[in-house]
Amino acid sequence: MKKLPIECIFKIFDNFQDDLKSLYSCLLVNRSWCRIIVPILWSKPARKLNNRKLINSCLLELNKEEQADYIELDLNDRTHLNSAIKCSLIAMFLRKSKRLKYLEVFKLTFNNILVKYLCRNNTLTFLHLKLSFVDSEEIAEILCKNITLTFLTLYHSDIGVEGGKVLAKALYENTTLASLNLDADDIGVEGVKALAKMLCNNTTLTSLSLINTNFCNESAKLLTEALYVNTTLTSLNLCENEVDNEGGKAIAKVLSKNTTLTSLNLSNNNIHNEGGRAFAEALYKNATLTSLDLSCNGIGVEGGKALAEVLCKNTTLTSLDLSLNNIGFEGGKALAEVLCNNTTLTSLRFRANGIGDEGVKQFAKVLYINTTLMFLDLSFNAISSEGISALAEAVHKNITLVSLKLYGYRGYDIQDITKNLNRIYY
Amino acid sequence: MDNGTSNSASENETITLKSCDGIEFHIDARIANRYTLLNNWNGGESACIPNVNGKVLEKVLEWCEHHINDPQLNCGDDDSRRRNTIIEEWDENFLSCDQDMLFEIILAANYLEIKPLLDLGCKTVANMMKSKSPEEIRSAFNIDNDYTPEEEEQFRKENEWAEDY
Repeated sequence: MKKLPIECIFKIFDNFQDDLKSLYSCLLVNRSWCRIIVPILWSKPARKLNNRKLINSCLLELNKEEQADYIELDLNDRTHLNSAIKCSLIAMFLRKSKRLKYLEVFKLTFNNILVKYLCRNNTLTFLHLKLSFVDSEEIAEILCKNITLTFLTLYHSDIGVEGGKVLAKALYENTTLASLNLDADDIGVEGVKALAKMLCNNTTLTSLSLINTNFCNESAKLLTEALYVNTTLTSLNLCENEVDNEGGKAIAKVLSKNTTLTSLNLSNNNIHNEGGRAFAEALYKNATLTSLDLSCNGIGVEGGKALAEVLCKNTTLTSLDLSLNNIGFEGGKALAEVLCNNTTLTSLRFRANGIGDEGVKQFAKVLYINTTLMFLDLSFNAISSEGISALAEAVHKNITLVSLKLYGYRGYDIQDITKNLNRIYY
Repeated sequence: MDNGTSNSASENETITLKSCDGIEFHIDARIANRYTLLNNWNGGESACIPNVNGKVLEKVLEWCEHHINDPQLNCGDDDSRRRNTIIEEWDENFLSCDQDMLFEIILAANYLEIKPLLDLGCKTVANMMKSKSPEEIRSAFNIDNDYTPEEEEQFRKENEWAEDY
């Protein structure tokens, strides 16, 4: 047994990924096996933290400082005790692990010791807090002191307007954070104002996500001011908010000047026809944006046509989502006509726009000519077998398309038509 | 004979390999095409495979020949194969040799980069350890216990949670 090199021994133990009991036996065989097995056994501890014995062993590892927070608690106060124990355990992992990169916590109230360790830690790059309570001053302290954190999520963490301001202030000092996600946190107009001001100076943040944050026109105007100045932010997600045509126009306007942003998501807002046309105008000038999501915005026929026309000229956009916009047959036809000449767009989502069989036939024509499009989604477009068979024929001739989605078609004949086409999803 | 690096070996082509103790083997060129490292030693006369003796090489080549028509697995299948501890009957018989030979085969497969045979060998060893106590494993593989009693007790305590899985 001694003769085998370590990589072979490792391969043998690798067979026990799901058989920890055997792994435990092997660990007790001798010292050299122990050295190999301990890291395997203790990888991904979070997945196993429902085991009492494991929790007990972990608790034995806590130092005095880590124990202090829960040792005085009333044993009948389960909620606080649980939370304190969780904090202490995470703190212990942060102290002991030399390569912890990813920490995600769910429904946790942070205590002092955890904040202290996070300030000091220099291995963590991802910190995701979901439905958790952390004092924003403490988050700010972490952002000012920690020098490895690159991704921060504060999903639904109730940080409020003040939290937004404090966070923005901390980002003047921080020079490592590349991605900030405040989804489902309402930081109000004032919070956005502070963030926008910070973005005028910040040169590290590349991605900002503010999904479902009651982001309104006022916020949109403030944030766009920053986008005239900022040259670092490449991705902005404002999905599920309250931006209407006014806010949409402001955002569109900045796109004709900004040359950094490559991805913008405004899905589930209300920019309507007018907003849609403003985006079309902007895309004549913009040559940076590669991905645009304007789905579910009530853009309508006119807005849809305007957005279609610009695709004759724009040669940067590779991914476009115009689903759920009541663009209808006329708009769909305009888009299809343009796609016969466009050689940049690789992904088009055009769900639920009521284009019907006639509209689908227009897209079938595209597939005979276009050799760039790889992903096409025409689901929920009131298609019957007539439209499907036109598409199926076109797909046979097309060699570029990787995926065609047609969910929502209930005909029985689809299996006959698509039996040779594993690229169709329905 | 043309050099074994050609990729389109037909059924009749053979190549010659020589073990470290000088025994020559004439094998189907398709085997060498599959496990490209074997090609390094094709050429008969002077080149021989270091570290692998004739007895072991014979076993390894026997396995390769039996599996010559297996589909080539790509990396994506790795995970599913690892989790499955079932071994085919032929392979089980093939590897039910004495322990020394089993380890020699693993070593050779590792050295010659014959991954499926390496996996199989390691899986066979793992199955020999499965559900045994530390003492049983030590005696099965003739391993000395170099723990002090205190150390052993400490590791037992720290990791006994794993028994529940």
